Amino acid sequence: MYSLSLNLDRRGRRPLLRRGLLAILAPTADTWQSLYNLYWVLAVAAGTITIGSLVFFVTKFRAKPGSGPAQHVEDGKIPIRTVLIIVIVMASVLAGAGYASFHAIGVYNNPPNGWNDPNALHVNVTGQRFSWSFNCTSGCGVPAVLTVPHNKIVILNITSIDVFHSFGIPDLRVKADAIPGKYNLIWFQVSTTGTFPILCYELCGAGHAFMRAKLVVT
Amino acid sequence: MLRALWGRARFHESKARGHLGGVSLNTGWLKRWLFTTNHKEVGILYLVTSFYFAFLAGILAFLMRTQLAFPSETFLQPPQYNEAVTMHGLIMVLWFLSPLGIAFANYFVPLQIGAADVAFARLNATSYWMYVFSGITAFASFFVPGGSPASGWTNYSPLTSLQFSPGSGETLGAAALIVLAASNTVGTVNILVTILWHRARGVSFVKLPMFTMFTFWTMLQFLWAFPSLIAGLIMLEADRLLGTSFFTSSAGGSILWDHVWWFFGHPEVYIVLLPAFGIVAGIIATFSGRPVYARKPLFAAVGIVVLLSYMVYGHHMFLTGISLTEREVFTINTEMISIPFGVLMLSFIGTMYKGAVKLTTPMLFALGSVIIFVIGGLSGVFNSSLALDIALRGTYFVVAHFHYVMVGASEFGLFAGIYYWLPKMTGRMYNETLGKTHFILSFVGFNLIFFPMFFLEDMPRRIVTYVASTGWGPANFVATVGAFIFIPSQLLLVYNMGMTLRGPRAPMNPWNSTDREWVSGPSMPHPVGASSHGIGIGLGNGVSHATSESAHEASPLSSRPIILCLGFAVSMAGLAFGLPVIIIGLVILAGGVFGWAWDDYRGRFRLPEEEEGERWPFSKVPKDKLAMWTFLGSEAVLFGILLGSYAFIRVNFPYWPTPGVLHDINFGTIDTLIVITSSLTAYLGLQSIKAGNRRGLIGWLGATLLLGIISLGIKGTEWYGLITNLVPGSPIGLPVSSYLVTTGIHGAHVLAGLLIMIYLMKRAATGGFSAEHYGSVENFNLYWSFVNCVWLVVFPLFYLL
Amino acid sequence: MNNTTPIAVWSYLVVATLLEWVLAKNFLSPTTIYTNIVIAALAASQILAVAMVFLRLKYEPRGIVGLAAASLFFAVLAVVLALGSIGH
Repeated sequence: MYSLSLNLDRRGRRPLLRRGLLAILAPTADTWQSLYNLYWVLAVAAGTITIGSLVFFVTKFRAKPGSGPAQHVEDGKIPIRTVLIIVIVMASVLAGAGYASFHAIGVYNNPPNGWNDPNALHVNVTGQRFSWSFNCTSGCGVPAVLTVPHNKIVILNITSIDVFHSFGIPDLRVKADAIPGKYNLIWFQVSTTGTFPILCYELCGAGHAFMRAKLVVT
Repeated sequence: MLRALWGRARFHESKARGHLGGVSLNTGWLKRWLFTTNHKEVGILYLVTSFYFAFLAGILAFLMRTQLAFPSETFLQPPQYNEAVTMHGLIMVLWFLSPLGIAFANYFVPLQIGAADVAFARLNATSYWMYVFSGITAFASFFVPGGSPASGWTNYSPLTSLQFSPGSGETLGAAALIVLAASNTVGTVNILVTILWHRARGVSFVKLPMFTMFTFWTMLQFLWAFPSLIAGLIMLEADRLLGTSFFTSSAGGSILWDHVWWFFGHPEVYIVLLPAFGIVAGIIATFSGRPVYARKPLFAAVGIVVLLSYMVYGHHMFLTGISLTEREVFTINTEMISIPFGVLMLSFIGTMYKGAVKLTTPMLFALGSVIIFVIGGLSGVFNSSLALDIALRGTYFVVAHFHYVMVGASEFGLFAGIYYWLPKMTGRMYNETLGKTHFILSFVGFNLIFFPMFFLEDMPRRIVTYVASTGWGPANFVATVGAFIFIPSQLLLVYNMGMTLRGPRAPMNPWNSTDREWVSGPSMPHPVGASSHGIGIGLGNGVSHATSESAHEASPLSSRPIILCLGFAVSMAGLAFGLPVIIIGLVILAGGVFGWAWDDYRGRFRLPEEEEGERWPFSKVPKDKLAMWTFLGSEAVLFGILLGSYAFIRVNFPYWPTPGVLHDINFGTIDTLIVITSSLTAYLGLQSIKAGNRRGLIGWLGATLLLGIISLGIKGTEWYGLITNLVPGSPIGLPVSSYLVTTGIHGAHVLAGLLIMIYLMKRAATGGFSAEHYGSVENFNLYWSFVNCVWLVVFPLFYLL
Repeated sequence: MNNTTPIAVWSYLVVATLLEWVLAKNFLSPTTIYTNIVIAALAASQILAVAMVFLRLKYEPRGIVGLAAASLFFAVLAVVLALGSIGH
C-alpha cells in the first residue's frame, strides 16, 4: 500500500518515512492518501463479500461425488428485489466514494490563495526528450533540479516542447500531463525538507525511463 | 510444443481425409482450408491463428519480464523494449483476445440459435483472411528499417508522427490496424445479421443462450467503436504520408488523438471481455445444473454496459487538462458502470445457489475468471476517481488493473470455453488432469505476476529499467517469477489440445448442458464441397458431397475472399512500401472483387433459403437490407468522428479562414445541387424497377452515374486548386488538411458508388432485376443517399460556416 | 408511392440549398451566430428529409429506425464529448 522512496539527503539520512507515520507532508499527498485508504477499505469489503460468497456457494453447493446430472429448471421469475438491493447498495457506496473524490479534487484544483497567488513560487516546467527543465523568475532551478523552500506554495505550469510527457512527483501525489501546445497547472506545498524524485509517466521514446529530475525542498 | 503443432497439423489432415466426420471427399486439404466459407471451419481457423499470435505476444512479454526482473538490467535496449511493449499490447488485445472470441462466435452462434451458417458465408471468410493478413503485416513491421511501432499500444501523438517515429514501422503498423478494423467491421455486420435474422423458431431474444447474448451486445460495441479507430488511423496515416497536421498541431494535436483513440479504446476493452463472460455464464449454469439466475436483468445489464462504455473513456484523459465538468462526468459514469457489472456478478454467483457444482476444468477457469474480475474490477474503481488517478495514472497500478481484467477475466474465460467446447469441436475428450494442472499453474502464476504490481504505484509504465534505490526490485522479481510459471504453463493447454485429437471419444453432450449447440446433433466440421445444386466454385471444380445430416452443412468453396483480402492487405502495406506495392495490391484486390461480382452475376454461390424463425424486430426486413443498414450505422460513426475532429480542430484553432476564402461557395452550392439531384435520380430508378420498368432503371442509374461523375469532377478541380497552392516541404495547414482528408474519404465512397452503379446497370441490362427482385438496387439507394447525406453536412461545415 | 413525393422533397432540398447559399453570401458576420444557426438548421432539415424519404425511414419498421437512431446517437455523442472537453 505504501511505497518507499529511498532518497537520501546530503547527510545520508532517509528523511522520508513511511507515509502515514509522517505528519502532513503536503496537503495534496495527505488528501490523496485519505481518499486512497477509503477506497481500499471499500474495495476490500466489496471483494471479500463477493469472492467470499462465491467460495461459500461453491463449497456449500458442491455436487456429491457420484451424483447424476442436476436438474435444469427455469422458472421465469425475475428476482427484482435482489437485483434492486445490489443496485442500490452499489450506487450508494459509489456515490459516497464519488463524493469523496470530488472533495479531494477540490483540494487539487484550489491552491490556498488561488492560481494567481503573488506570494507563491511560480515555476514553468518544460518537458522534452528526455529531461525536465524549470524556469522561474527567482532562479529556482538548474536543469533537472527544482529547488523550493519548505512551506511555500509552489505553482507549476507544465508543458512540453516535443511529445506527450507526464510530470509526476510521486511522494507529493501530484502529476499532470505535459502536452505540446497546452499548459497544465498544478500546485503543492511541502512541510519538511528533503529530496523527492520527479519522473515521467508517459512513454515518450527511448529515453523515457531516464527522464528523471529532483525536487529539493530546503 | 512441436509435437502439439504436429498433432494440430495432423488434426487438419485427418479431418480433410474425413476421419473425424466419417465422410470422404476429394477436395485437397490446402484448397479446402484456403477457400472454406463454412462457419465451423472459419471458427477453427480463427482459433488456431489466434494462438499463434498469443505465442508471439507472449514471447514479447517473456522478454520484458526478464528485462525487468532486476534493477539496471541491459538485456533489452530501450528501443527494443519499447517495440516489445507496444507490440505485446497490440497483438494481445487485437490479434489474440478479440479474435478468439470471434472464433467461438463463428463456431457456436449459429449452432446456439439454430442457424445453418452465418448470414454471409463468403464475407465470413473475408473477415478471417483480412485478420490473418493484417497480423502478418503487423508482424512484418519488426523487420522494416526503424523497427515496429514503439509508441505504446495507445499510439499517442505526437510520438507517432513522422518526426518522432521515423521509418516505416509505425506506418506499416497503422496500415495493419486498418485492415484489422475492416476485418472486424465486416465480421460485425455478419454476426449481427446472423443473430438478428437467423434465429430458429422459439429462440427469442430473452431465450438467447448466454454466449450468443453476450456476443450480440459485443457486436454492437464493435459496430460503433471501430469506425473511430479507422478514422483516427486514416488521419494518422495522412499526417505521416501526406504531411497533414491533424495530430501534430497544437489545435488538434495530442488531445484529439486521445479522444478519437479512447472513444474506440474503451469499448474495445469490453469487446475483449464480454464474449468471455458469455462463456463463463453458460459454463457456470451448466456445471451447477441450474438455469442462469436473473437472466432478464442480466440481459439489460450488459446492454447498459455497452451504452455506458462510450461515455466513460475520458478516464484515460483525467490529467490532460480537459474541463473539470467533463472529468466529473467521466468519474460518475465510470463508477456507474460498476453497477451493471455488479448485476453480472450477482447472476454468475447466484446461478450456483442450490445447485450441484462440479469443478471440472472449464468450471475452474470460469470461476477463476470471476474471482480475478472482481479484483480487477475493484481496482478499476480506484482508477475511476479523478482524484486518485492523479497519482495512479501512468503507473504499474494501472498495468495491474488491466491485466487482471484482460488476462484474468477475459483470457481465463476464453480458456474455459476451449476446454468446454473441445469435445464438441473434436468429438473427443481432453485430459482432465492436465487441464486442472494448467488451471492451477496459470492461476498462481498470474497472481504472482500482477498482484505485486498494485503496490508499484510510483513506478511509471513502459520504462525499460529502474535503479535499485527506488525499491521496486523485489516486486518486479516476484512478478518475473510468476511469468516464468505462467507463460510456460500455457504450453500445457496446447499440448492438451493436441493430445485430444487422439483422445477418448466423447459423448454427444458430456456436460449435460441444455444449450442448443449440445442438443442438436453432431457438429464437427464436415468436409466441404459444392452442394448438389451444382454450384461452381471460383476455380471451377465441383465436388460431390455426401452428408449425413442436412444439405445445409455444405458451404461452397470460394477463392474470392482470400484473393480480395490479400490484395487489400498488400495495398495497405504499400503505404509503407511505396506506390508500386499499392498498385499491385489494388490489382489483386480488383481481381478478387471482380471475381466475386462475377460469381454473383452468374448466380453461383447461392445457399439454400432457410425457413423464417424469429426475426423481431426486423421481421419484414430482407437480410441484405438489414446488413446494409448495419453497415451504414458504422459509417455514420466513421463520418461523425471525421467531422467531429474537424469541429474540434476548428474550435481550437484561432486562425480559420472565413467562409468563401478557401473554398468557393458557388462551386460548393452547385456541387450540392448535383448531389441532391443524384439522390432523386437514384430513387426514381428504384421506383422504376419496382414498377417493373427495366429500361427506366437503367436510364435513371445512368443519370445518377453521370451526376456522380460531374460531382467528382467539380471536387477534382477544387482539389487541384488547393494542392497547387501548397508550399512543398512545409506541413499542410489545418484547414486544407481537414478538407482534403474529409472530402477524400467522402469521394472514395462516391467512387465506390459509381463502380457499384456500373455493375447494377450491367445486371439490369441482362435482366437481373424485376418488380420482385430489386434488393440490390434498394440497398444501393440506401448507400448512395447516405453518402449524399454526409455531403449535406460537409457542405455547410466547410463552405458556409 | 407516386412520383410527386420524391420530386417534392427534391424541390425542398434545392430551395433549402439556395437559401443556405444566399445566407452564406450575404448575412454571415463574425459578430453574430444567428445566421450560422439558421444554416445549420436548414442542413439538418435536409438530412431529415433525405433520411425519411430517400432512405425510406418513414416506412421502415421500428428496428431499422432504432438502429439508425442509435448510430446517430453515438456519432453525436463522440462529437459532444470531444467538444465538451475544451476548457478548464
